Amino acid sequence: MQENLSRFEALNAQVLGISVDSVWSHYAFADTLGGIDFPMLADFHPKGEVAKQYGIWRADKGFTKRAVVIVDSEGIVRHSEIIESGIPDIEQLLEIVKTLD
Amino acid sequence: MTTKLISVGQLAPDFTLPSTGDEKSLSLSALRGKVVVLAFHVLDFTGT
Repeated sequence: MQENLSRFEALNAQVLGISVDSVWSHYAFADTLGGIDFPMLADFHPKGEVAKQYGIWRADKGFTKRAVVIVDSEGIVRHSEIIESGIPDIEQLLEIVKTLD
Repeated sequence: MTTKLISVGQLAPDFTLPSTGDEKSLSLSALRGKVVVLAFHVLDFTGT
């Protein structure tokens, strides 16, 4: 995501990272990646509250599935997918964002 | 509880969460007018 951030920004899209880790963990993690220029949100307390609402909480594990959800400018979900393995298809996501811009 | 991925066409549940960066916290509703790409990852440091 970081490598393609400017391409999303050029489409007036806001990229947000999110997991059940704390903000402090996110800062340390971002450091190891050489810096992350989009906000990383902490769904940390109560843990997984947002993930539950988006249907990606794994109660057996205490963390979430990997997923990408695209929300349009009116707040409506326009794309949602679980990423089972590998990385999300950035080109496909950009295409979707383009149609919503 | 069911764990069905949120569907296209649904209103995205609003949230306010602590955030990295200068804002300290972010609400989805505050981003109306922009397309928002929510990238959920599993856990920091795990490559997932």
